[in-house]
Amino acid sequence: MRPAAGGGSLMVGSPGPWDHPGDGCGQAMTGSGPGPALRLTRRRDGRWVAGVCRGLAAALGVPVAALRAVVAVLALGNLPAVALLYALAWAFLPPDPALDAGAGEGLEGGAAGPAGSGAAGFTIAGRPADVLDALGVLAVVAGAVLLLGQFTAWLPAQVVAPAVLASVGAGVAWGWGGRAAGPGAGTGRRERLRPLFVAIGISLVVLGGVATLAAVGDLSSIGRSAAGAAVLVAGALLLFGPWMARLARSLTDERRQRIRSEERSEMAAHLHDGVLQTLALIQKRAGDDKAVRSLARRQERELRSWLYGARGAGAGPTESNGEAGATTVATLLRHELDDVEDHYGVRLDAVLVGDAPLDDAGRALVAAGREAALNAARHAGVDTVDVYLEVEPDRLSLFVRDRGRGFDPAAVPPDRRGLRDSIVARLRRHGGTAEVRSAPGEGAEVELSVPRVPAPAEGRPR
Amino acid sequence: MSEAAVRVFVVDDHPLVRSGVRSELEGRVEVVGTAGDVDEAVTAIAAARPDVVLVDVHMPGGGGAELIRRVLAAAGVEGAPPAPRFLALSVSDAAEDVISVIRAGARGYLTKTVSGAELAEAIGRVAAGDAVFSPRLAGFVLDAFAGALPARPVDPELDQLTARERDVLRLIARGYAYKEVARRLNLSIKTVETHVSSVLRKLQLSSRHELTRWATERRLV
Repeated sequence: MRPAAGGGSLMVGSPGPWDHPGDGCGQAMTGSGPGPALRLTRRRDGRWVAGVCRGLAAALGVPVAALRAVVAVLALGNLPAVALLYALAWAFLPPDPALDAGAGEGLEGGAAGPAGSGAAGFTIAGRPADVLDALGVLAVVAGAVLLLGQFTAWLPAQVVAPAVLASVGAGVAWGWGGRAAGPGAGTGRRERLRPLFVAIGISLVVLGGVATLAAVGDLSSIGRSAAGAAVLVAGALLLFGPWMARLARSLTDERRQRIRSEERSEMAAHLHDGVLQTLALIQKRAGDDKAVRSLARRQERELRSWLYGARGAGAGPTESNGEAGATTVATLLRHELDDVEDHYGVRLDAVLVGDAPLDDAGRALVAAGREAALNAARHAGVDTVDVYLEVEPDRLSLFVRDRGRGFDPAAVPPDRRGLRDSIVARLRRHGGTAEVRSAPGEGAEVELSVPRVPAPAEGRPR
Repeated sequence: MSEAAVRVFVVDDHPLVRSGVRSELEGRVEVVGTAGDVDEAVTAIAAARPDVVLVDVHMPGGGGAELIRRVLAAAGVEGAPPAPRFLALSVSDAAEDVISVIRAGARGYLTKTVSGAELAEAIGRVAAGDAVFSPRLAGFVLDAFAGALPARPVDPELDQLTARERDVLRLIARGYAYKEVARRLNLSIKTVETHVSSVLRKLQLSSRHELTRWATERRLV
């Protein structure tokens, strides 16, 4: 008899590995016993409607055409029941995550595997295994109801609905009541709550059964059946609500915890690679003023860029923006200044206003600025040099200022090529200017400026 | 500064910094007390009545901005003694830190690398009611007030800098002291101070909506 075969195939689909086979309700469902582990998904490849039959067939290892035929015959016999079941399966079955590349194989393999080994494979498409437990119960009860429906000819949906809800209740009690919602979830509270879940589930099943029987016994008493269904809906909501909230919370908690621990380990790695190493070096070279200052300054810079900088994010403690990697005037300038600091142990306090994409004029400006900073570091005899870059719509200006010993610009001997060639000539090639203001004892300021090639868009990052 | 020594209160959650600042200021100003967190500081400041509070930006219990708000709110009550003035002192150069503490009411912002002499000078300036702009703060302001005015400015006067203010800020950003700015622009120091105070007021009160967005986006070192 075909309907029976249909019910049978559904019952094979119920998962075997109940956690608590001793529970009283277990008896009502033992049609399946320790059957093969079932990996149910909706398969969207080759589907007709929502892929339920396709997924079932793949999971059970039966030809999809046969299964469809069975379902069709069942539908002829009892359309509301089949439609309801199909809709439920549609809602509950997760879509197959990856249809290509061996995912289908995994499905078939999992279906054939023994129940005990299915534990890992039991989580499908990110859903907890518990959903499958519930589905198993659902399938068993639904199968039974369908069988019953065939014997009593036309079973109305009012009867099927309470029964299905009862099965959902049982699933909740057994599956979700009995398992941790996630690896991070505390088990203590769950353990205490479990008897409650089981009790509620059992009462749901009993209620559903009573409602079903009452409806079957007296088909005209639709009202009573509806009341039964309402009770069950309320019960199911009671069960589902907290569970879903808890699941959501445990998932967020878990994610947050993971992010935090990742951050912490990144922080630890950074502190170890950078700060601790530098502190060790500083202790070793405590007598060397200049080396200590330069070490401390370099470490400060790295830590700063790592903590606050957009550029340091994720990058290691090493120079994250090499000269080759610089794409804007400001990043290139920073790189060059860092380099000068490292070599001369002078602090270059840079204030950068605006930024612009790097072009030849910008490159020339930065190169000239580097030369000016080098001069200040070498000759001014001070610890700190101020650098100021301003990007204006029509030009780039760079100022390098120190409060050092100063000099008379007119008295610079002609063989001092640094200033003349590297700074003045370089900028002149790009239509720019260089001006040096200094007097002995007054410090020095080099003002560098190049016109900007009219860019299509304003260069300031906003 | 020359008359009675300025009374200074130091708030920082690092004991090392507190004692360091205290010893650096020795003989230049009078340090009347220190505190390590916001709650402690609010009570101690009310008792010690300092002229200037040096405040760290990052602290447990809400940070420098929160402390400034609470002390200013307490001073706003009728009959309360006048509020002290605040100078922020921090290792952080992050724009959002700077902007938030200035907008809370600090009259200046210095990084902890300043020398004792510079710090004492800045304290004197703040005590006199002027603003203290480090090169970096000047740079931030220039950057934040760059670009066109918003389409419908609430108060155009507050939402943009005058050409003169811009000149002054540029020189400060280049590392000029107020005195040097004055000489360079042929102004009196007083005028420079007036310009800077006016910029501070704009920074605190401007409704430029870009300001906050700019600060959070601009996480430059």
